[in-house]
Amino acid sequence: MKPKKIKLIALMMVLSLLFVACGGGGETTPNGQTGPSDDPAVEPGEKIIRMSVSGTPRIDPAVSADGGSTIAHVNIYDSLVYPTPEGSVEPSLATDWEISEDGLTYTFNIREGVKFHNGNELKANDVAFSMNRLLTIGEGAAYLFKGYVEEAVAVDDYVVDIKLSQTFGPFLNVLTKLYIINEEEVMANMDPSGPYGEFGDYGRQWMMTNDAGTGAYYVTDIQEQGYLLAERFEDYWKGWDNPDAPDVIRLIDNTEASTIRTMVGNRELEITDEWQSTENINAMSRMEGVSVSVLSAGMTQNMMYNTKLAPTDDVNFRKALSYLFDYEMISNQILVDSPVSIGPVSADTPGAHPSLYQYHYNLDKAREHLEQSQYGDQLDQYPVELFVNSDVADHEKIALALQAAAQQVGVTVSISKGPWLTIQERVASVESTPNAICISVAPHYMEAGSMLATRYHSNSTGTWEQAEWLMDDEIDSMIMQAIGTVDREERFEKYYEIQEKLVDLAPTAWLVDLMQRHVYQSDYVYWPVAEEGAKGNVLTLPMGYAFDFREFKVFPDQVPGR
Amino acid sequence: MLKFLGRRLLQGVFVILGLSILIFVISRIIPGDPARMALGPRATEEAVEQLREEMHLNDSIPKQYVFWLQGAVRGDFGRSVNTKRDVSEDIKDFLPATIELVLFSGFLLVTVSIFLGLLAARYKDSWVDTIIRFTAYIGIAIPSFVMAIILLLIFGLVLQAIPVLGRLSSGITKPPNVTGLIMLDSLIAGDFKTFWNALQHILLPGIALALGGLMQEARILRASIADNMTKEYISVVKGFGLPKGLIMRKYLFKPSFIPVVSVMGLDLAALMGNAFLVERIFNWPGISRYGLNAMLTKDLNAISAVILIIGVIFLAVNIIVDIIIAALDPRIRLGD
Repeated sequence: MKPKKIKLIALMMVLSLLFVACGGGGETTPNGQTGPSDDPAVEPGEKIIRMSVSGTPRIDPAVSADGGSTIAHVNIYDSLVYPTPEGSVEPSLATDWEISEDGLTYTFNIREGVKFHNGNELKANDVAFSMNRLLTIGEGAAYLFKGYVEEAVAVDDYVVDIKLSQTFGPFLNVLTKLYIINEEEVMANMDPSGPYGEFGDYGRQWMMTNDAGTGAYYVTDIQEQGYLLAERFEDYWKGWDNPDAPDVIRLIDNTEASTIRTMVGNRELEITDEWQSTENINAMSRMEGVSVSVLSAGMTQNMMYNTKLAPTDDVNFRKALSYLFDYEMISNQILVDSPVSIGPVSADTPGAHPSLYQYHYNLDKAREHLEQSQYGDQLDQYPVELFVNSDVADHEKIALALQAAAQQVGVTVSISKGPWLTIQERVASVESTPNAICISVAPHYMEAGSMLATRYHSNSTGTWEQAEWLMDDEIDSMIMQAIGTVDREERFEKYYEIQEKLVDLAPTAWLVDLMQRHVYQSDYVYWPVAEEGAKGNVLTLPMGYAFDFREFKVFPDQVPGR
Repeated sequence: MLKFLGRRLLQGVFVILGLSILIFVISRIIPGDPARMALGPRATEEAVEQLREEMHLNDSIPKQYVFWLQGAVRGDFGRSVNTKRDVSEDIKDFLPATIELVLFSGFLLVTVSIFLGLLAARYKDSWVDTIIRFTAYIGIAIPSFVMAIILLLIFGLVLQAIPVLGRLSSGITKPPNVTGLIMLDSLIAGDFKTFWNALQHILLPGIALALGGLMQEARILRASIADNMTKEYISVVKGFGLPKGLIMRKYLFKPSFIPVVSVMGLDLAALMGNAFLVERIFNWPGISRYGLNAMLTKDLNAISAVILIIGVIFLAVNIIVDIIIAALDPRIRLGD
């Protein structure tokens, strides 16, 4: 081959690559920007909210309760009651309700004229069906009702009774997790060969890709490993008095840092997920027209101690470790925007003890407790294994800080790392659970009882929500009594008592009340919850409810650079 | 040739059978209850038990394997606890995207590596050779997922010059599904606009995936040609006054290409495995990303199916490479 020919071919190859790379000028995105996009059905200038989530959202509320799915549920379905930032509830599909004297029967009057997405009117039988279906399938949020709800019965078209087998104080709060689905539509699409007898598969297969809700948005497309696309439901019962509300919402299954950063930079993503690292959030926050929102879902960042494994089986040893964390440093430099915890329940969760003793960084106190510990004179024989999630760099920083402090008092901390799957495997048995493990936990409903039951009742041992293996009969009984108390004030008093006892047992180092940080396009998106946070009023809402997109406003003509 | 093919295919069946046993056993004996993991810590015991039954997890491992193998032969790999769909349905959805990406990367790998190798050998020790060698070091040293991030940030974020996420842009309608490969389907449909858009989308992930292997092959080809240039037979043909182009094509390229083909075969097969993170970074809805998610969530049926498919592809590529090598080198006789 002649040199000239080779050079010519080389030139052509380089030019063609450049042409493909730069030619065409990229696609016009919905907001009029040029650049990358893989959005399948969005018109330029359309009001859209795109948000990244971890995992493809599952729209069947009876089978899923993870973060991304819950955001979808809040927008596609309605519940009988709606949570308020104060921790109580207000009417939603139920106009009002009565509680029987024994606290075992809740009678709800159902709102008339509410339409499902297929045009059917919502009736009391749909409420009963939704509850009974959830309990039978036993997944999703079923665990919140199982053991308490005996049955749900439609009294007439607009009245439903929910009967409990035992009193359940926070029942109304928990009802924010019961999403009402269309019985007629679901049963018309059920697979009779399913495992639930006359209910077939209870419409599980059909509800993988179809919604049956009354919510503000209805699902138009779900692509596995891709996205969930939903459009605004014009006949929504609450109406559309917000003219700037998004017409389309898109939940994108991707949390990869560089991908998210690129999408935010190209105005292809309006809100990021909560899993971005501090470094990535800081980098994105420097982009024009982008802000960081801070919200609370009542989550706490915990260092859980295995209370059945030496040396963390000794309460004084645990207390000593708790005095070795530099809580202020963690709050200010590692888990930014997250205040130092005061006890086991996030301070903004109703029922949190207002004035608990808080462990703090104090080497002298740590030494004092080590001396009182049965392992005080043989520390070199009892190294502490601290396990962190290898995907969360911030947790490793916390572990390293503890390791350095522990060295000063003669305690050896060895740090192990592994993915989330390994964490689940490690905490599955008391023998394999490490001495300490860094895990964040959110309450399942906005009341202290949820966090206390989830974290410290014996029935949660062996799950990632309790690596402490506390298994304390007295605590178990106190939790059950508190949750069963219908009177709110009395219930809260019982919660306080449990929290005091837990602080004394020190099964956990409660590091910070973990705030969720999301980057969002503040120049053209109005996000009510984020706006409140920016004013210093961080709202606490159950998981998903900060993303009620009907309340958002989108201004496509205000996209930076347009 | 037929004897050779028959023998390799028979060997292949045993290899795949062995692989299936291995992955099945490994995925089952690692700790943790897959049913519990799939449904979460709070699912009721009844629901978990029902899933265990559905997945035959209460049976012995040999019995589980027989159930699984019976299904696999029929193309039924069971249900994914992650996507809650049949694994075969997931594979049908995700495999074409990966095949398209791997074919495109493979095309780049073969054509560009040959071109660069020839170029570097032809201009040995000149500035052209130096640039190619320097670039090759960078290409080989940087893992494909790091290259993916670099390309994404440069072309997607800084330059905003090219669509970088997914397979098609907004407003572009997917062509009728014939092969599942969007570029090919759009050509079949005569839809050049979609083809162009798909090409733009595949370019960066394709480059990121191919670059390491491509540069390695270019270096091997260059070294191999440079080595053969010093051989006596080349001096002889030069002495006969044959044109340089003919010497390069007929007497240098063919023998020099054999070591490249062997490595190329392995690299082409490895593209499937390397696509894991590239697909994740470019939001490419392929089987590798699906496999990664399956591993992170201990989705047993999906893990087994994905590894089996990658194994079959690896094997097929190796057989093809053997045939090519035999065709290139008459000293190697298939079936001997």
